[in-house]
Amino acid sequence: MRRLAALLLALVPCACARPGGEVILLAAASLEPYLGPLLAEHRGVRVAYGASGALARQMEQGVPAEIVILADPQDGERLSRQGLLEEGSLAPFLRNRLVLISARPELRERRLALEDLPAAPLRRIAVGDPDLAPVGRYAREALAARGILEALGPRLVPVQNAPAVWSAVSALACDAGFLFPTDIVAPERVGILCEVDPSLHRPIVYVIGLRRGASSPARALYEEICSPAVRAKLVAAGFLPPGGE
Amino acid sequence: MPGREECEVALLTLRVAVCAVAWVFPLALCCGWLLARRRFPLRSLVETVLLLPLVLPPSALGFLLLWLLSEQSCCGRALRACGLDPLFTWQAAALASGVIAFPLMLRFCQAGFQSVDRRLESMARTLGASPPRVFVAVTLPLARRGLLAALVIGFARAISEFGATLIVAGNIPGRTRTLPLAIYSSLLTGEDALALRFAALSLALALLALILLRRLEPAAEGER
Repeated sequence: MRRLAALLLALVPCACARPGGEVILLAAASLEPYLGPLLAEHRGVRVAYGASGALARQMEQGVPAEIVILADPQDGERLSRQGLLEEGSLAPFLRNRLVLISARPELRERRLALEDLPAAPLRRIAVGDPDLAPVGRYAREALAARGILEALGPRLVPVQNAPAVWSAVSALACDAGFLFPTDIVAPERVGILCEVDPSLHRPIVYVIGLRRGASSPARALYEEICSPAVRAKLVAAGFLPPGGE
Repeated sequence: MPGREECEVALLTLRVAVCAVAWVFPLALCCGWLLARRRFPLRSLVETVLLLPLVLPPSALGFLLLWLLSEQSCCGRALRACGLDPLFTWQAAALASGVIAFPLMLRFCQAGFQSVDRRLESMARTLGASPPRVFVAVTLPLARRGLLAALVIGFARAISEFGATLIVAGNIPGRTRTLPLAIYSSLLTGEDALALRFAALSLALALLALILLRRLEPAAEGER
């Protein structure tokens, strides 16, 4: 018993320790499978992934993050307007596309047009929660542009972020879901029903920003993430380069 | 004053918790009685399994329920064949909250039955009462304090259920967004004042349950 207590006491400093000079990076959840390995060998970097809307909110509320990568320029611009970001640091980082996928065996091979959705045998369609997750905002914009947002109404199930759409679809909890193709971590389990026409929603642009007065390790990391080498790896993984078609 | 949104969320939370307790209480009652009164093979194993939801992370349990209810499992396919599809509905939230509340209710029911003086039951039996009548007229009234506590604790646990509910019922405004989920969502969207109002409502519901317990059991203090 006494030994157990001693062990627990010994663990307390480990739990409380937070090495100084650690750079906190907030990144869109859809980047986790790709950015994670790239940053794995970096010491002194802590990355928190989440829905971009929620990450921006966290930064507004005082999370001492020094770099943000968000999947919606609107969230980045909000931070910029509040003076949280360094002048001119907010820049387009990557672009992405939007697809509708399904893991249901009888649907996997099918192709659908967006306007056929209300009549399709889909009881639940996972979309990102528009308050928080850009993947849901883009999907709703596209559905609204096609005039079927109202018709789908209660069949749209809001989930936290893009990876949550993937898990809802791959677990067959939802019949289909809107996500970025880069969220498809096991392509053999799903089929792409529809590639959403990019003209139906705002361009899906990831933006990167540096906090005003960021530390020099954070600046170095910002430069490194923005470097062509890192971007090339992300583009090879399925993201689109930030400029041009 | 709570606005319309808050009232809707509170009413939904109440509905989910009441249904959760309603479906789980009979089960907890039967299992509690069996564990308190009967010796059977593998009894401790059964007891351990029944108490598992108390120690498992709610998210793990939610994951298990999601698998059971989705078409990945034969249970989910059978439900679908019967025209039932509870995922992402308030019924799924009631199911998840019920499973989470079950071990606590079981414990209190078991303790309630264990507190009953067995001699009173045998006396009733020798006076000619049939076993079901002994159960209804002697055992249940004597175990009532434990059973009422089971109801209230189960209700309190059900209104605060978060992890498993989020996984099987989602967080859909107006349909499955219960108080704990509403607190979470309003914190994520930066509406701290709204989160505070939801938290105050949760507190009010929990207090109401505790006050109800005391009103139902006015003799409790005096008997001690």
